[in-house]
Amino acid sequence: MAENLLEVNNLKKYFPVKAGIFKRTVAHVKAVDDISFAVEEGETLGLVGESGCGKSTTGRTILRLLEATAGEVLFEGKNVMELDKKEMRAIRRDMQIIFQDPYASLNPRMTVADIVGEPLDIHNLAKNKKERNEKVKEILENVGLGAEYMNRYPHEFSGGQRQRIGVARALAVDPKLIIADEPVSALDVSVQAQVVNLLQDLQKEYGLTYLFIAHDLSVVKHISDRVAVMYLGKLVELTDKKELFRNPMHPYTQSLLSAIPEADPKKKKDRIILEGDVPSPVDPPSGCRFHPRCPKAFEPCPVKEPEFKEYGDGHFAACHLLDQ
Amino acid sequence: MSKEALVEVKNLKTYFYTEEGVVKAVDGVDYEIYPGETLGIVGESGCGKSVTSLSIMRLVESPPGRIEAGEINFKGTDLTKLSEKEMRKIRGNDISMIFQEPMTSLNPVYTVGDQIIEAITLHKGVKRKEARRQAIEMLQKVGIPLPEQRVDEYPHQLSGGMRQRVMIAMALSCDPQLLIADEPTTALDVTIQAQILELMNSLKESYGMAIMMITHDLGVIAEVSDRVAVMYAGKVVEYTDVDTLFDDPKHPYTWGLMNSIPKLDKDVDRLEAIPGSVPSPLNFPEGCKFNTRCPLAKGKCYDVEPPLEDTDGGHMVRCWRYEHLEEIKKRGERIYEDRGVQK
Amino acid sequence: MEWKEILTRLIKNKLSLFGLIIILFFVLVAVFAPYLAPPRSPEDAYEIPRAGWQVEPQPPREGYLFGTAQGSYDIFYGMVWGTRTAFRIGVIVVGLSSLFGIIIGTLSAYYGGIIDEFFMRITDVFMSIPFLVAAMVLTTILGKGLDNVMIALVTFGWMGTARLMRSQVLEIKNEEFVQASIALGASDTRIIFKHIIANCIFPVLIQAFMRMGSMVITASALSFLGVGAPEGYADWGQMITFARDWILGGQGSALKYWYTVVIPGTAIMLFSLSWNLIGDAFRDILDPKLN
Repeated sequence: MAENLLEVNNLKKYFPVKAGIFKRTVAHVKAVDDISFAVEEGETLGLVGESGCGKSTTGRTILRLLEATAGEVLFEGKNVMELDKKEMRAIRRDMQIIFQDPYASLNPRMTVADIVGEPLDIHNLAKNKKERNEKVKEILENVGLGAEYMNRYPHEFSGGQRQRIGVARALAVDPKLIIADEPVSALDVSVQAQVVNLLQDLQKEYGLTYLFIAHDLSVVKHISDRVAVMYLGKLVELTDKKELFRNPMHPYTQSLLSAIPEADPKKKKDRIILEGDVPSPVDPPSGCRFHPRCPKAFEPCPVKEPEFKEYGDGHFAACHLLDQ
Repeated sequence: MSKEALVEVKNLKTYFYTEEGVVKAVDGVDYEIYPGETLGIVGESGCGKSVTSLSIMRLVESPPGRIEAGEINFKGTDLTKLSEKEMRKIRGNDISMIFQEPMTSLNPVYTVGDQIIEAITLHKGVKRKEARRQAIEMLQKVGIPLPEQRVDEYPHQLSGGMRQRVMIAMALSCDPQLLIADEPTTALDVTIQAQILELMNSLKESYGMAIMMITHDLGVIAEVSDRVAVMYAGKVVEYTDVDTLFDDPKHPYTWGLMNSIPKLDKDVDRLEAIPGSVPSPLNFPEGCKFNTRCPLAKGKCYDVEPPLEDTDGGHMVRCWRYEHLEEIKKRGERIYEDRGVQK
Repeated sequence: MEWKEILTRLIKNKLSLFGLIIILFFVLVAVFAPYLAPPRSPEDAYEIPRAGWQVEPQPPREGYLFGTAQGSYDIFYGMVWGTRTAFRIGVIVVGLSSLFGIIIGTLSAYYGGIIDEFFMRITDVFMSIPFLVAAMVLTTILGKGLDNVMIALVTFGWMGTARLMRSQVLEIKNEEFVQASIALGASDTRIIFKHIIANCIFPVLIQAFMRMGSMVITASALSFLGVGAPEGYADWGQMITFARDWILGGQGSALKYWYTVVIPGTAIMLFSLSWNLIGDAFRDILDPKLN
């Protein structure tokens, strides 16, 4: 088994809810509530869940774009949470992020050369402007953009091209880990496949490790080696992707899989349609957080929180049913 | 089909006159919707799928937009010729519409009840008390728990899925014959999307109305449609019943769309990605509009726009070289260059 | 590129073109002041020469194109050299107060928390004092003179910019491109200058344009109230001050001394109008909703 490049232990991120004139903290949004997982070197771990489940917050907390409330994040054995500002800046070369929105994630007042060249400037990776532009050109070509685009501004590009620029920027520092936060969900269907293929090619070429965050299970299944499913700030299941799709253990994973409309009209599936909405993370349900919507809930579910543990060969899940 | 069409769109052209030039958002579109069926319209952003529906509702903002040519026959009357006043009687009454973002289509300062009641009193001419009773009944029908209570709540108190249910209740409150749904589940989570799609399917059966489902998601299309029109760059490129379309896509664009999405039950190493992106509507290519991205394009494709032709038994395709695609499919080859990194 | 496009659109718009032409005219007057109205001695060029010692204003005549004001001060000379004063007041006051505002607004919004609280309460205190009264009092304390007027105007003129800048920065700092830059390991200085200020400077610029005119009016008002430039200094406000006792005209003719009011009045009006026109046009150009 390969080494763990990233290890997340008991990570928590609470956002305070403030109210009143004195802005007192009256409650907490428990966006990420005690999750642990590891990403092996060279693999792609998919992190799926519905909006508000805390998957994006997890990604940003790992990179310390948000400060964690508790827990540790080990990158190559070093606890990222304990690094000072200078060490943090240095380690950022190794962990990069690709954002969802290809419009908001590029500074509209910078040229493509400056956007992709920024990481080189920050970490002094080029001796002079000429060398920098040479490198930018090379990176752009690697993501499928020609050098003729270098002096253009982001608004002159289509969504797919912008996302390539975002990928190029992340690649410029030659990172080991890339957190891809819904990198294709804002793109047109026909362009999604281009970006997915690009990410796969780059992984092979540079030996990258991905944490691929998305709400679309079919894309996650395509690109990932292992998949983690998140619900209301908690991990509910984590396993090899084939195992997850063949043998989903958690009732939430089962209903999520059955809810996806498939592009095949002959397959009218027997749907497990979940009742109700995702509850608010400010006041999550007691016991198992999924119990109010769970079709299989029984006595212990509203009372006791199920433990996230291994049920055979790297298949983790958190459900009381499995202990019966 | 032998039945009489409920809506018949003929050669519809809707253009937008902007500072940069004429945007031909919808450029000669034909289709029919029959009573009680669901017509799916699928395409990517900018293909004109939303503008066609807005044209039927006559809600195209003018200026800059204008219905340039064509007919929209609804039960024998041409909607393009009606006055605004006559059109208002049809909107909400005979034809209703629901949108992608239910928050912006509900007025935040009125309760959801007020908004449904207004629609009912306006079109049905019943008293307020009766309208309120009907509103509560509608909320119940769309599966909103505790409708007597929810009727007095404001839109922001409801979740996204609940708001979309309210929108559906409002749209159905006057028993329309056609419901236009413009990406109704795109803003929702998959588990909520499944709820809404199921609701729409069951309501369609009980109300016997026709649905025009506009979406970019082939999965949703497969789920709900009877027949499908695939749009690209302001035109219908393929038009047939849903089973035929998914069994035997004949247009290279449809083929590309289907193979660019990963499937849950099938493992492929690489997706077939259609290269490039949708051309700007200000600057469509000569000939077939898909020729900039089509791996089969050759000769004639660059000069003459192909017509929407019946290939066999009602399977309409707009392509000069669809037979060529057939041969490739028979050989089991991929047609799209599958390099993510374009050198 | 971007600037070029803005400029072409400014010229295309009739109103802003009008504004630009007037500003250009004033710039030319200011630049060529020594040729239009040669000073008697270059050291005190801002000293308005007198045609004699007569108190009553005299109408335009040979050698005194715009006539003479109270105390026989040459109106033409005062107007020409006063143009320089107007630009000096405008540029220095607006420039410095905008700079303060930008610094305070940016620091407040970027660092937030206690720093934000501290700066914003100071801003509130300054904003609660009526601008003109505060400027008058401070000028009186510091003593008469144009420099002190400018100090007073800067002291009480930065808060609007600070608040505008703060709200802009608050918006931009959560944009994903800023997050991306943090993730790349960029320093605070780099993020503030390259990403934040570059993206929120335009509204501040527009506001600065609008304030150019109003600052000159306020400076004139202070002169008119007697706390501005010393007597005889070439300044438009001063020219209006000279007219104070003659506005109502003389016996039998209400318009007898029109030139003492109309000439400096028109200049001040045109000056501030043109900046506002340009500012307005700028806003229209940069507002994406109107495009």
